[in-house]
Amino acid sequence: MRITPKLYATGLLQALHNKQGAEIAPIIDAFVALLAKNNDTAKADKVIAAFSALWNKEHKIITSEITTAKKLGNDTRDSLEAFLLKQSGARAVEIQEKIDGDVLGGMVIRYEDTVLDYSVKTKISDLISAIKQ
Amino acid sequence: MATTKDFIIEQIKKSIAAHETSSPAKNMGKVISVGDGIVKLSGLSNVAMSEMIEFKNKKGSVRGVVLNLEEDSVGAIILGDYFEIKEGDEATASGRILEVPVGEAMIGRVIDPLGEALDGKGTIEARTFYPIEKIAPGVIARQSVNQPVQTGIKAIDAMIPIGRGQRELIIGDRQIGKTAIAIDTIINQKGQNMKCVYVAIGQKESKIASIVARLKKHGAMDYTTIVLASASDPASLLYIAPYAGTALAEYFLDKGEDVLIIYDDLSKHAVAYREISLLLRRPPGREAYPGDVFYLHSRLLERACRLNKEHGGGSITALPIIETQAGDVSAYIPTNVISITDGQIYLEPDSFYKGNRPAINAGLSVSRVGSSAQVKAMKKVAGKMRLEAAQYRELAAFAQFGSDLDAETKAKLERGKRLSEILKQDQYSPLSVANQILIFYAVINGFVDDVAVEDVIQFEKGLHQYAETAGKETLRHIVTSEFNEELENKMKALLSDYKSTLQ
Repeated sequence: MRITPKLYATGLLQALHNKQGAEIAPIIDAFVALLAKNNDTAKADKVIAAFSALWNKEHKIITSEITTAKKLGNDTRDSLEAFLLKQSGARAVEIQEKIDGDVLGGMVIRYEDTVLDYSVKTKISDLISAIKQ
Repeated sequence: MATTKDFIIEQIKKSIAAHETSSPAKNMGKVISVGDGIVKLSGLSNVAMSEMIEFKNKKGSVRGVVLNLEEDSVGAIILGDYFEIKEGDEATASGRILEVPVGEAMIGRVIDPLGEALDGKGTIEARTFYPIEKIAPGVIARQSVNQPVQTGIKAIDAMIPIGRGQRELIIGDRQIGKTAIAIDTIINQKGQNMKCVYVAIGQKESKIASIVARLKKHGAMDYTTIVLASASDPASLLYIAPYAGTALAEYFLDKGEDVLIIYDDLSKHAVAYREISLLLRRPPGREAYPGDVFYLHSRLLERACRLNKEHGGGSITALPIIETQAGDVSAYIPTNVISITDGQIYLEPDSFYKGNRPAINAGLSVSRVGSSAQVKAMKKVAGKMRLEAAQYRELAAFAQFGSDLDAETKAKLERGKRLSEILKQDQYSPLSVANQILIFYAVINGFVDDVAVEDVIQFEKGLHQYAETAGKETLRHIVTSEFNEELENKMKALLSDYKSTLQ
């Protein structure tokens, strides 16, 4: 049977369930040995990506990308984190910041498959098309 | 000058104040794979079946429709050019089911299934949108067929009558006049208070160009719209074309109007759907069609209806066309559509090559509901005529074996020959119902018996010309008054007068 990266990741996640510190290393070793035995080491990258997604889902962690024109201040960052936790119902959020002058002002927040576009660029282009009509 | 500037500034200020920014939250997805007009997307967790999605790239935007909802991916078809879409591109959910622009502005135009003009007469301004998929009207909103669609084709109006709101299939091999029947029917709708929609699915653009030219010549484009998904369009457009055409028909239906819609042809539609289904990796069934190919056509044709007065009283008459391969009506798609429709017009190659055009096989063709909508006089005349035609077919097969026949049989055969001459009709020359009744009355009452078979066509032509001048009043009576002795006497007098002019 062909084992998909998702299946590998699910198996690993279940094996690691409730394991602490020193217990983890032998499980990882055994898992890598299994990959090698099945001749599936080439799938390692995909397995890692799938594992990370599953782990985040299990522990209700979301990743978010925030695009702004200028660097965020700490206060803004904290309040954004609180906003995202409330909005998404997650327990933790990993924020990646991106600076892009094209947004002009405001910000574009992405988490999972939702995009919240509060950028000045979009507002202006909406306004332009509204005036054109 | 200053006042104009102030006015403009004031206007801009006003519209800025009134402007509400769109909701910032959007459901997004990413393209995992793309090919053959099909995309697989990740994300889009809140998207609905048949929802419109938009792919944006540097060259503009392309629309798509969601067709597959899987555990962690979404399958969609792309409506348009898919070469610009790449892996990793973003797609935005629109929150709306696929809809097309409709309206009066569409009349007389050639459009693609998304409502864009294809005839080079400029863009079409339409502010109303209708969803392409809609649940058909229910039992409460409907009523039975009670008004005829005059096709102008003698063989159909007499033997296989079609009513407004009926679904009548036109079936036969390639190149034996299926489209010709449809086009003649459109031409004959002039002045009959009917809007027409011709949906061309997988047809050659040259054929459509000649159809448009022909319709224009007969003034039929004044009430006709052509929805074109040509052979070179992607399967996704071929798939939505009949639904888009029906959405346009439903716009007129909602205004209480009568609409005639022609799907030319549903075999190619099924093939396009098969292509999409196989690319979406849905399991193939018989002839590799997917399991829901019956539902594909039943939900489309169920939208043809006759609404009662409380619901506007409009109607959609559907004439789907199916192309058979070597006369095989028992293939998958033909049997499906035969079972969905309220009857079929079966065209026969043998008959076509013998010169009987339209090549309608009167034995295999039926209309299950249309006779209740026939004009009274036509009903009387056609009933007797159908019997004579059936007897002739039976006797003609029998008479091939021997030449020793009694006088009665010979007479029946002779009349049958004349009848089949009468049923021949040229393309693009529909005949009014009164003229049809007159010539059929002449045949079944023996007025044509003494005309030589080869002269029958000439006799008929002369009769129509004569009736146009000398029998105008009688022709008007045929359609308006009851079929009684008085009318019969008038018709007999007209026919005798005409025959006396021939000697």
